[in-house]
Amino acid sequence: MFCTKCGTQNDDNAFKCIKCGNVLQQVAAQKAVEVPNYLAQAILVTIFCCLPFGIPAIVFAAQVNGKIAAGDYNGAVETSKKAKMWSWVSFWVGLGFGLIYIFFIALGAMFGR
Amino acid sequence: MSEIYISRTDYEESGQRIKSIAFFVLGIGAVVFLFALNPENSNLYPPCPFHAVTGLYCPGCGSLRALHQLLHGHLTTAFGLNPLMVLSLPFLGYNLLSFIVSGIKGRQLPIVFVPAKGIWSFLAAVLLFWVLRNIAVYPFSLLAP
Repeated sequence: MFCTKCGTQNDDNAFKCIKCGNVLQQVAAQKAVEVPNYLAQAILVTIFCCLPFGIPAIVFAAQVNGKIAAGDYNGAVETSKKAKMWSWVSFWVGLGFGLIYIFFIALGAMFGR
Repeated sequence: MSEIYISRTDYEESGQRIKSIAFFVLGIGAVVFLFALNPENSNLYPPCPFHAVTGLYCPGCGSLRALHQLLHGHLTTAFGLNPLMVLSLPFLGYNLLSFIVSGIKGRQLPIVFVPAKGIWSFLAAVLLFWVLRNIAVYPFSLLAP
């Protein structure tokens, strides 16, 4: 990643900049507040919506944090949007399936199976 | 270096407070429903679409039954139904709490920054769990719900 203070390239896992001593990991943690990776939502839909669409959401969540750590904030913001989208796709498809199921249960109850 | 932020003000103005309260109320409702009605002997819960179509278990199969067992304090039974859900619960719970607190108090709880490597490992674990729990041979059969 690049130091946010002096722009020197550092190792991805470097805690402080090798040139100016600026604390790098803390910066990454602070930026994470501004660029959400929707990991919790991704796990939630993977476990409770029972659909494979949660998997790409987890993939993009990992990419967001990878890009944050590498200092690529524009890229992180772009990927963040994709992570959000896949969580919602999974959520709505899951909800849609649930509603269709309940509709048929209700239909069955009404006309007696 | 140019810095682009997702605007927090947009997020806050779009009624995050209302969303948080709605989430809280819906969450309580879901917990009460799940506590009262065991998914094991009720047809009011939709089946897993993946299981319905393929006949195979997905990483989430058994999570609602496990949650029901957890609400009744049966940790071991819950773990047997879906260990992935039980292990993910602390992380999910903290994020939910953070969402509710930030909406109501307007203040963010400390964020949990999981390094990319950690998330990739988690993904690998999910995929491995998905495959292994479908193998109907002991000891893998223990992973099935």
